[in-house]
Parts: sequence; C-alpha cells; structure tokens
Amino acid sequence: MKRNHYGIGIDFGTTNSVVSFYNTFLKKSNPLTNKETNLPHPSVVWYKADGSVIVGLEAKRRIMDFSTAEGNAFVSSVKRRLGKQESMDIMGKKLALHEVAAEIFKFLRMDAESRSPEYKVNEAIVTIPIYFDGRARRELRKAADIAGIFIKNFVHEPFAAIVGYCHREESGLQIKNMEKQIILVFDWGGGTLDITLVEVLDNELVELSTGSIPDRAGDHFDDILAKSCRSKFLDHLRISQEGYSIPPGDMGRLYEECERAKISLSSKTEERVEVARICKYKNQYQDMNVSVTRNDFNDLINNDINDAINEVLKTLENANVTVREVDQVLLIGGSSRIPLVRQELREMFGHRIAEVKNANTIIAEGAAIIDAEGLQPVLARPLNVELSDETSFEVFGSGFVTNSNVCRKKIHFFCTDNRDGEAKLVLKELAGRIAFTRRLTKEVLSIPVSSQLPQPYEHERVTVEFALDDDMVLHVSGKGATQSKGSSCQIYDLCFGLRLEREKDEGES
Amino acid sequence: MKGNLDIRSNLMLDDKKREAKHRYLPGDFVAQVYPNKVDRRVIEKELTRKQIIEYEQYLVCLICKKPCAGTCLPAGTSDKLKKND
Repeated sequence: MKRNHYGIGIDFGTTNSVVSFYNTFLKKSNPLTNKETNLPHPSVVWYKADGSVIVGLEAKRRIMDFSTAEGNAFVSSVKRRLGKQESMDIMGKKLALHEVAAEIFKFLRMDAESRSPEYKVNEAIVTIPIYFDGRARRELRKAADIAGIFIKNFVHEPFAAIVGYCHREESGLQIKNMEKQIILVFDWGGGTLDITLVEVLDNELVELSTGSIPDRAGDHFDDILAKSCRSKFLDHLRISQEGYSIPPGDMGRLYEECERAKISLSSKTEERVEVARICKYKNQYQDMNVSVTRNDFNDLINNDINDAINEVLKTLENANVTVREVDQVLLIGGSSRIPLVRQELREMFGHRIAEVKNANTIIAEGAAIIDAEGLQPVLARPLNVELSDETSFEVFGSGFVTNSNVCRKKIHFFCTDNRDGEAKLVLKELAGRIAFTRRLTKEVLSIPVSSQLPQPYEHERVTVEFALDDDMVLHVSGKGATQSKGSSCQIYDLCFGLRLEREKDEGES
Repeated sequence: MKGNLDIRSNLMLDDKKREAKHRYLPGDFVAQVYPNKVDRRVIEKELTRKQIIEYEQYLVCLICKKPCAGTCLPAGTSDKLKKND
C-alpha cells in the first residue's frame, strides 16, 4: 500500500467539526480551524430559499436571525441523528440525513483545500463517538462519499485524542511504556459530555467503559449565560421578565457574545457582555452592558458540573476501576477548559490531569496522525460461534485487523438437529482479555434446513460466510446444502480498539 | 423477572476429522435417526452421558404412557425405582 507523506483527519462533531493535516516529514499537525475565531467550524447547515447552502460560523450566526423567517432552514447537530434512517423536510424537499451531513463534509473539504492547496482531501480518517454503531458509520460514509472524501477508517474519538496527546513534534508518537495504563478521556465539547475509560492492552487501545451526558455542554452553558444576562439587563431597565422578549435576531448576537464571554472567563475572573442596540425601549435603542464574574458563571453551571463528576465516578465504577488506578486524565473539548471543571477533576485525580493545549482540535490532529502512521482499528473482543456441544469456535480473534484482506471467512458446519427445519447459528462476542466490558453482542441467525429425515440419515451441511466491511459491520450469511435460499444478518455494534503500531507493508523489514 | 431460557446452537464444525457425528446430536434425536445406537448393549459406548439422559427423558412411561420423564410418579418414587433397578 502506497503511503502519503501526510495524513488527514476529520473530527466530524455534533456541534463543531475540523480537518487536520499531519506532515510526516515535519512531524507537525496543522488543524484548519475557523480563521476568525480560531475555533473549529460550527456543524450548522443553512439552506436558503435561492438554493444556496451555507455551512459553519456564518450559518451559526444567522440561526437566530432567520430560523423563523420563511425560506430558510437550519440544521444543527445532524450527527446525533445519523443511523436512524430518518429524513428531513427542508423547505418542502425531503433530504436524507447523510445528504445534510454531506454539506458539512463539502464545506470542510473546500475550506481545507483552499487554505492548503498542496493537500488533497479525497481520503481521510474520520472520528466517531464510541456509541456510533454500524448504521451510523454507514450513513457517515455516504455523506463523505457525496463530498468526494473516501473514509479510509473510522476511529473512536477518545482513541484519536490519546494518539494526538501522545504525539510530540520532536520525537513523533510516544506510546511505548504505556502498556496496562488506564486513561480517562473526558471530552466535554459543545453538544455532549463523553467520558471514556481506555486501557492500553497488548499495544492496543481498548475501551473499558463509557459514560455520557447529552445536551449539557458548551451550547447549554451559552444558553444559561444568555438567559442570565438577559435577566440582569431587563432588571436594570426595570422591565418585567414576562412582559418583554428580545427579538430573535438580537438574541443571536447575545448568544455569540455569551460564548465569547464564557471562553474568556476561563482565563479572566470578570468579563463584560456587550451587545449594542439590543432592544428599543421608550423609543430609544438600549445597549446591553452586563458584567459577569467567574463566580456568577460557576453558580450557573454548578449542578451540571456535579452531574459530570458523578458520571465520571459511575464510568469508573462500571469498569471496576478506582480513582487511584487511573494513570492519566485527558481533558478535551472546549467545555473542559472551564476552571471549575478542572478544579473538581484536579481534586479527584491530582497531578494525573494532563494539560492538553489544543483541546478543541486534538481529535482531528490525532486522526491525521493515525492516518499518516497507518494505525489500524482492530476487533477488541473475539467473536465466537457457539457449537452444539457447548464449546465455541473463534471466527475472528481479538486484535484482528479489520481493514485487511482477510475479513472474509467461510466456515462449514453440520446441523445436529434438523427437526425444526432450522439451523441456529449463535454468534457471541466474548469479553476476552478485557476484564470488564459493556454489554456483549449476541445474535442468533436461523438458517433454513430440510426438516425431513432421510434414511439413512445424513447431516445437512450448512455453509456460513462472515465478512467485515469497511464500516466495521459484520455480514453473516448462511445456507443449508439442500436449500435454495439461505438467510443473513448484519451485526452493527461490535467493539473496536486501535492498534498502536503500524502493520508492516509487504517487502518492508 | 429475567428469563432463564436460552437458545442453544444446533451446529457443529463440519471437518473431515469428525467421524462420530452422531455424538453431537440430542439424545432423543439419535434414537430417531440411528435406532441401533440406543440399543442397551451399545448405548454407553456410542452416546455421551448427556445424550443418554436426553434419550431417557423422551422414553414413553410404562405407567402414564407418555414421555413424562418420571414426573407422573409421586415425588421420590422414581429414585426408589431406580435403586431397585
């Protein structure tokens, strides 16, 4: 396989998305954030009546102004709905969700290629959350295909973050001596809090347990800060809270200002939220100028932070891991920069909190390094077939490289009891080397066989084919020797890890 | 309440080395398709312990004329009968 001198990673996020390049010669990452804000691009799509589509910061800025105006449609958080086979009604036109997601990929590609014309974003590693199953992965691939991007592999976001963190400009990927280490990835971005406990086992990153709090992240904090500022402002003008509402367009400016103030409060103790001519009162335009202190903000989000800490404890408990056993904690995503979050986690984990400077882009950077280094996703747990004598047969072992040419296996069985006219193939994911795991996949496939009992009796041969596709979906199809038709199923939620060393190419020593 | 039943596989690897395929069949089914294997003289040799139990579960009871697996008798009687046997 010919390898490029650069790698491309795409962090397709619920609220923000970003592309990153990694140059293997310079050992340097180059995340392409928004030029103006230096933050990832908002994953917001704006469909206009004239047929044009706007993605990113401009769409996010206009969401409050035009969301209720006729001839405009805004879609945000499309990622959360992927895999549910839903479609959306955009101004009377039915669009599949992957078509909406494709607009974000198109924008990311166009932005990246226009800013770095030396790179071609026609193939990339795309990161996904742990909970993303095969259906969602398949839909994401369709979206990327429309944008002309071939997804080489999907990699879990926390794994990409760990790779990004372990990379040093001077020495490359530093993952030696990490065996048996337990790393907690605390990813608090704009849309959700995702907590993943990861262990390095046999030079592979595998997930031990996960926790999540949806809808209570950066956007939620902007919202409560905006409401608080609005309330202070109206109190100052002595207008009743119920009797007045700020026009939607001005609320957009307020949200943007609150987001800026929130980010600023991570480094300052006080910040002003200023929005000019936010409303007209007594025939005069009024300017909002409200002071917000870090303590005020902490009070507003205190409950959310307590819930986040409880979720961390629950995640550890689910994996039978104590706080002491965690070797490192990675804080990624914009919301993890909030000083109160850091303080609470520091009280719990002490010096094991790792300082991640590029918390907003580390996932994309890690994905680009994974691409450049040729790291491969692997099956984290073995997949077995139960046999009638209560033993089992391993179809794919743990550590099996999913993106290889040997992802197809044909196995012959015989049916030990054909009286029901069905052979029952019981597929089971085993815990394997991972001590504690989430729910293990179990699937039963009924394959039609002849129910007749010929004399002398002959066992009917059942041929079963297993194939893992690029979306890491397992296709199982079986057929009895006497039957014209077989049956098949697809398994979408197998557990994947990431091998931390590259498979050697042919001829490579 | 959680169920305590599970679907059991009825498949076995079909490799050429596996000569005695009948040893993987349920006991009652062996009796149907290979009646000679359940002959009293060879049953211990031909079938596994589990298969013999499965086979006996489906034998027609002399008392109730059904495959009752000894359930038609008052509790403990079947054990006594077995001892007398």
